[in-house]
Amino acid sequence: MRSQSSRLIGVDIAALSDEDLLERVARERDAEAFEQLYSRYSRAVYSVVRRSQADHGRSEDVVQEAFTSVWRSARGYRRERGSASGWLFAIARNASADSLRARRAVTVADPPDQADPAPGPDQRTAAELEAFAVHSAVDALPQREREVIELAYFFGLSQSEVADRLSLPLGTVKTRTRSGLAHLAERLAGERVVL
Amino acid sequence: MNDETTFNEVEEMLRAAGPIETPPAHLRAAARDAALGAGDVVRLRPPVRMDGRVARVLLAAAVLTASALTALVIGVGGSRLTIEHHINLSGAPSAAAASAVIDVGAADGAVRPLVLHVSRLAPAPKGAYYELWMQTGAGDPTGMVAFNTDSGGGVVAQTTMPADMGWSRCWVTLESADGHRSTVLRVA
Repeated sequence: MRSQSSRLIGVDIAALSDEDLLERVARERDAEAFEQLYSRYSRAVYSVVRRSQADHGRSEDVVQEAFTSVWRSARGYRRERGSASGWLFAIARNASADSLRARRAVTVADPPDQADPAPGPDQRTAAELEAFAVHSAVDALPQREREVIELAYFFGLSQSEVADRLSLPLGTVKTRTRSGLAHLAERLAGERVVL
Repeated sequence: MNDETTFNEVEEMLRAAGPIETPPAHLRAAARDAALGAGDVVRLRPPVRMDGRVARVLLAAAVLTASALTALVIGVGGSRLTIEHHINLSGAPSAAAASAVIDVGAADGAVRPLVLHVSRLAPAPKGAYYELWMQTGAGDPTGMVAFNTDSGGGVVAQTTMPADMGWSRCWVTLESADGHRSTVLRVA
C-alpha cells in the first residue's frame, strides 16, 4: 500500500504543504496524501457547499463528488498557476454548481426593470473564496488556538465566556487568541479579496 | 502595517466568514471510497452480521433507550439512511444564527433512525448540554438525544425512535447545570 511505503521511507505526510500533497496524489496516487487533504479541507469545502445547498444529504453528495474530483483531476493542478487552496475552492464550487444545474429547470424570465441590489456573482464568489481561505486557515491552527478563535469570532463570545466554557484562565485565553490571530495573519496575508 | 491593524483586519475577515460547518464523520470514509474505489480501502474489521434473535433483542433495547434515556452524542457518524421526512429547525432569539435538520429515516423493524444535523449553535456553557425533544399530542415530551456542539457550532447526532411514534412538536433545549431550561431551536 502506498501510504505505508511513504511512512517507510520517512515522509511525514502531515508536514507536507498542500501543493506537495496534491503532487503526491497526482504522481503517486498516494492515498495517505489524499486523506491528509481531506483532513485539512473537508470543513472548508463542506462550508462552501452548504452555502448553496439547502439539503444536508445533497451537500454530503457534493462534498464526496468534490473529493472524487480532487483524486481524479490532481494531475491537472499546476503549482505555478496558483495555490492548492484556490484550486480546491474551484473544485468545490464547480461540484456545487454542477449539482444545482442538474436539478434546476431551465426557465427564461423577462429581464427585471431594476438592478438587483443583491451582490453580483463576482462579489459572491469573492466572499466565498475569502471565507474558504479563512476557514481553511482556522482549521490549520493548533487545536488550543482554534477553539478560542472559533468561540470568540464565530459565536461572538467574550473572552471571559470563552474562558468559562473551556475551563481556562482568562490570561490563557488572551494569549491563545493573540497567538491564533498572529498565525492567521501569516497564513491569510494577501488573501483579502477586494472587487 | 502594525500588529493591531493586521489583527483588526483578520478579525474582520473571521466575522465576515462566519462559522465553519462540520461534515458528518461518516463522510470521510464515503469520500475516500468514492474517490479511490472501495477496492483500495483496507477494511480493518469485517462487517458483523447479527443473528435474527440477537438483532431483535438489540432493537427492543434500542426502543427502550430511545424512549427512556438520553445519551451524550458528540460527532456521531453512520451509514446513509433512507430518509422519509426532514424536519427543519431554526434558532430561537437566543441562538438566532443556529439551525438544524432532523432526517427521519424509514422504519427498520420496531424503530426508525433519526439523524440530527446542527449548525452554528455555540457549544453549551460548562456543565450544560443540549437536548432534542419530541411530543405527541398532549403526551409528555420525550427526550430523544442529548448532545453538545463542537467549537465550530456543529454536530451530527444519531438516535432512534419507536417506528410507530408520531410527533406534533419538536424542539431543542439548552439544559443548564442549575436545572434551568431554555429553547434554542424550534420548528422553522
